[in-house]
Amino acid sequence: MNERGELVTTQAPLEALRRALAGAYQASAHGREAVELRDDLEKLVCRVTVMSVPGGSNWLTVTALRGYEQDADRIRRLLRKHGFQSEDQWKSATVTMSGGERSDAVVARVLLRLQEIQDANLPGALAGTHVEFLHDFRVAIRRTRSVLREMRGVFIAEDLQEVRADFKWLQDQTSAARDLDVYLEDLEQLRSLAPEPMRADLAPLQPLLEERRRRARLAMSAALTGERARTLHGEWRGILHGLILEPENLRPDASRPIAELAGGRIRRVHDQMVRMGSAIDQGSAPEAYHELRKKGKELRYLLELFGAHLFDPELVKPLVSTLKLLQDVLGLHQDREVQAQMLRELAQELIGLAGGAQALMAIGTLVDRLEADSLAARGRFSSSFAQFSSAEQRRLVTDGFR
Amino acid sequence: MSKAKRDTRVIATYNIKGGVGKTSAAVNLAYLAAKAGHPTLLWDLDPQAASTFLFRVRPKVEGGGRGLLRKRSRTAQHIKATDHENLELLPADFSYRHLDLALDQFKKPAGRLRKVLAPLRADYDYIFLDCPPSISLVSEAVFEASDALLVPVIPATLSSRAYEQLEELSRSGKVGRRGRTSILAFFSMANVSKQLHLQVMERLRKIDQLTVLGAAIPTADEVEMMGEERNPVPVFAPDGTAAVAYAALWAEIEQRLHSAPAGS
Ligand SMILES: Nc1ncnc2c1ncn2[C@@H]1O[C@H](COP(=O)(O)OP(=O)(O)O)[C@@H](O)[C@H]1O
Ligand SMILES: [Mg+2]
Repeated sequence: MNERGELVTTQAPLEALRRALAGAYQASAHGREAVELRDDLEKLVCRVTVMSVPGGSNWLTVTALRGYEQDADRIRRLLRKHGFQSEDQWKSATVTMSGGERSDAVVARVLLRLQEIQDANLPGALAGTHVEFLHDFRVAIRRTRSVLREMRGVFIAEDLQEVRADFKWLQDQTSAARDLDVYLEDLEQLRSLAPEPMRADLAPLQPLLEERRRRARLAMSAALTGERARTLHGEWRGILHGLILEPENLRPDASRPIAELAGGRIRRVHDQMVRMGSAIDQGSAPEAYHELRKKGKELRYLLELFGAHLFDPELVKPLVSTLKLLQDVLGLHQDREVQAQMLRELAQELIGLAGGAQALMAIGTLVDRLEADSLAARGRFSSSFAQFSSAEQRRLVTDGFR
Repeated sequence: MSKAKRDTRVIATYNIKGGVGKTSAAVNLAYLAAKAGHPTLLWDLDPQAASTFLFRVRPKVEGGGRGLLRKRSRTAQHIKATDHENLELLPADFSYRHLDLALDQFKKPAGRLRKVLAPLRADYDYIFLDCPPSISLVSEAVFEASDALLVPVIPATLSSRAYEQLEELSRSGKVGRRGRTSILAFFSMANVSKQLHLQVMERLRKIDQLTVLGAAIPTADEVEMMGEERNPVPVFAPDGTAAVAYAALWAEIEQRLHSAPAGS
């Protein structure tokens, strides 16, 4: 996975680098997208690539020349000290909280932070500068929706309905573009899954997918810069800032301690997953796996956004890792299903194109492989689910999250 | 992933005398090899650190020469990228002035450098050794490790004596014991407007036992300016006579090296 950068600044990058490194390294521009850093002997020690994103953020990647790794580390330290942010500050939704705090106050803080992440990633997502922006934008929306579902008792039910519908709409507007990002990223991997002599035959897929993505992005941009999205982003902050002042008799969970509320939700979702998963066997429809995976995400978000800050790490960490294992298996199953589905759809469009016949044959073989993969993932489901739903794990969850 | 086996050639710039153009040749030729796309390493064996300086690198190797000779598996950790693509440097270190003593502690001192270089062959097409001016155990080890000794000869009577000495050495069997090291002389700091230079060049070219390359490096300001610029000549004076001469010299060397199989 290619990263968009390791450090971020909203200042003009060359000047910001010069200020931060003054006296230690010289910075000079090398073309429009790179800066060279030299030491006291004027030796080139690092190259910095800069990706500028509309909206004013600049994403830097520091690459050491061989033998100058220590200089690179020192440079990274200096840059952080001078206000360059590390990139996870743009995706991590970590918010400080303590278990005894009112739930509505904590939930509002978490949601405001998620809104910040959306705002920060929106320009990059619109510009299509790097797929990571849209991805992080969507994760923040999914997390928001999950919090709205799980913590609904801190809101007035009526107010919530509209907001939830809006965020669902927002996510839907971005789905097609994200799916195509993923397909295009997967294409290389898909090609490698096809039998060697057929790989070249898949070439017509790329331009087809790119054209689709171009159209999907246009539609997405229109929606995200339109009236409905702007209104939502504006009003949402107001709602969150005023939340604790709303009448409490309409918000049953508002003043409960957050640890109690979050712990209860974690126990409940874990329990739901155990029941859903137990009903799954080799013959179950793909939807059953899909639903379980969605629940798994819900649990993951609860654990990351609240659990990790409120409960014993000894308890949360192993639960997160067994959950991750399970989600990976479910994810592979679903990815393969989705990829196969996408290929079947594209096959229709390929028929008329030059080289289309060969591409169709290659796709046929590929779809078979994907389905075999998907079946294999099903085979691994029962063991990873057994670990997740063991009596021991269930007891830990029931006792620990309260 | 296993690395493809390379047909690596080791080239040493060597002369008993100092100030004849060894370092200038090593730096410019290594640069030209790298520029043509060959992964290239230059090992600055001279404690004076002239080529290390020209590449702007600090003349410091952790553990010194002794460490390099002993811990062959760690050699790669001391290598630095230069500012030029494909060109890397194993820097000089002050401790290299005792490299003779360090070599002498091994059972077969003359074979040691060759052994140290062996694991690096997988990474480079060319390895240049820029040697200190001397005839010593270090030189013997260099002879043993190299596919070619590149000997700059200033075409003035006195200095060409040095080349004749080398010839004697070679005949006495001390140089290129394995019998595969080619000795390639070239004229350095040649001045064709000087009668003396022309005479010496003509005389040496006639000696059958000597391989004197056709391309000569003329005396040129650009070569002297390398110290100011701290860059190979083609970087800052690509069209000057020196750059053109080094390119011709390199073309000739490369051709000769690849008409003979590499030692391994
Ligand atoms: N072709 C040349 N023209 C002019 N000056 C030269 C030339 N070759 C070398 N020099 C100068 O002579 C000095 C010694 O050269 P150098 O390459 O360091 O020799 P060595 O490594 O044999 O001691 C340096 O100052 C260098 O700039
Ligand atoms: Mg020298």
